[in-house]
Amino acid sequence: MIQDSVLRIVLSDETLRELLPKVYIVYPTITFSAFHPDTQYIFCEERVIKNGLGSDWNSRILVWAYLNELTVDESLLLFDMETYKKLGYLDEWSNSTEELRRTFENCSLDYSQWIRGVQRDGQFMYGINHPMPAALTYLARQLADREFSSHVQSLREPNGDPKDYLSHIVWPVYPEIAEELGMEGDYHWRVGRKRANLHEFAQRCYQSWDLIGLRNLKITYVPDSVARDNVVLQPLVGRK
Amino acid sequence: MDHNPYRGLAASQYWRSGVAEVGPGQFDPVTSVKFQITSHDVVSTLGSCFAQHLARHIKDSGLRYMMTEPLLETEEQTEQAAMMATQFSARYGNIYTTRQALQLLDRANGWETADDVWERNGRYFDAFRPHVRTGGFTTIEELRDARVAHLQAVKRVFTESDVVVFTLGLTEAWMSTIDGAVYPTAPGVIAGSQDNSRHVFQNFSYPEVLSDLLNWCQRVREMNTSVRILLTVSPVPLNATYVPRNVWTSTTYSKAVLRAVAGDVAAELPYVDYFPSYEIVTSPQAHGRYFEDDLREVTSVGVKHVMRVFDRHYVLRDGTSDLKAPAQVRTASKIGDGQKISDVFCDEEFLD
Repeated sequence: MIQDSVLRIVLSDETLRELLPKVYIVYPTITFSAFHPDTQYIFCEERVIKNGLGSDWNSRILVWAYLNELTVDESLLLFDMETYKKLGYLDEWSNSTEELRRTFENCSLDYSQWIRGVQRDGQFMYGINHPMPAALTYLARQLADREFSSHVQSLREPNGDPKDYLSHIVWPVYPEIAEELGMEGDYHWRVGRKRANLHEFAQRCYQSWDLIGLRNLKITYVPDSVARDNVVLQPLVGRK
Repeated sequence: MDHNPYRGLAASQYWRSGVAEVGPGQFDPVTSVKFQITSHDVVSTLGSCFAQHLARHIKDSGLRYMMTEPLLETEEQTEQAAMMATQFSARYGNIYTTRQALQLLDRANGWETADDVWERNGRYFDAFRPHVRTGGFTTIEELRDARVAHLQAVKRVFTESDVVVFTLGLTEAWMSTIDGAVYPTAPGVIAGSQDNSRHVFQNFSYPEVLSDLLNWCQRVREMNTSVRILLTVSPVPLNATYVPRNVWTSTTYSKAVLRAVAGDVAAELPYVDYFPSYEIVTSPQAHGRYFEDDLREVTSVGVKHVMRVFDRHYVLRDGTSDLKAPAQVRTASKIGDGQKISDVFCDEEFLD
């Protein structure tokens, strides 16, 4: 079995391509940013810049605030519904759905069946590309149904969820966004045993970025949203 | 070529696209409205406990919410008194049944009922709004004086409102055997004592509720020829049923009758519309998440979903008014903190 995103890399490299077995099953990489639309990767010379808790995901709003020399307290004022709306965070459900549906279709899997199942419990992602066990279980069931239809009984056991190796990093679903998604949210980050509320998270990010002199580095962004952020966020600064 | 009448309908008309695959929090069963509310309209509310959520939201939205009996500085400043004054357009408390609503008009127009004061521990309670005074009134005269002023305020609610929002709650009620007066709660629950010779239980049928609601709407319209009425059904299940059967079976009966009547009345009267609060909270699309752990109270997230849909369709923002955008509206102080909304006032809570 091979993940579609990994397959793309393998197919683009002649040496790797030769290592592929004749028969393989492609399964989708689950990326879904509707719960965490503020997540952004930043890189300097292809090296990822960590957040204040030491993980790879950063807050797009916080990065912009830091680079535009807002204080921590000023940056916190940007975390509200008006900002999220203007940044398009509330449109992420349909964007994520469209992208993931395409990924499923490319793997000959039924996205509709999968999303109906995973939605039952509300949130199904710890972060943009860290699915919760239910999301993986529903995917595994569908693959098993398709590939080994006579042997799927064990997957239907209620406690048959896979062991969870992804819950060590939890990005919060911001309350304003959660509300739009019919669930409750919070501003509590967790990376391993490190925890932070919004104020603490912002402080620790600022301290961490001060140490590496982030403002003086040439950085790239994924997603690259700087142009839109400047247009949307600049007018909000000082108004809040 | 064969014609399939179900081909090419709107997305909301199919289960898959209208419910099953709608994103969480995005379910919106409203497809058209008869009217919209502007910043100039005066809006009043009445009904079951759930009506108070609408009342608060309407106020917080910047709409002109009618409060005919505000809390005066000279009055007791208890939380209960404040809620009575601010979460009801007049201090009538919960109006659970359509018969109770109809009789509210009768009483405002001079109908004097026989069994209307309940006593407990030397204090007196208005049988039609037993929580209006914390701990009851000291004397019957004081109670009656307050009622006279209250019923004048009730008249104002119906004659001066541009829009009246009525949340239908129950079909079960207790009434007087003497004159058929319907109470919001059973005698003996808060005050008084249940007596088979004076009180009788009634579970109103579809024809009775239909007749009462049609009558109520028409009479409100006679009092105020430009009023528009918005009907909705509370999604909160019964706390207890007096019918000897499971409370859930009684709930489905009650809600089915109310929902059907509301739809039929809205279909018949051009100035009446139906808003699906009930559907939003109880839809399978919510996967039961809009109910608290007691499986009865509606979560703050569920209430907010209802209000978001209400705002989207019924509130007209023309850009020149003071109306707040939905994103700015906070329906209740606790919303968003992961706590349940318990700050609504419900007579029904005292039944178990």
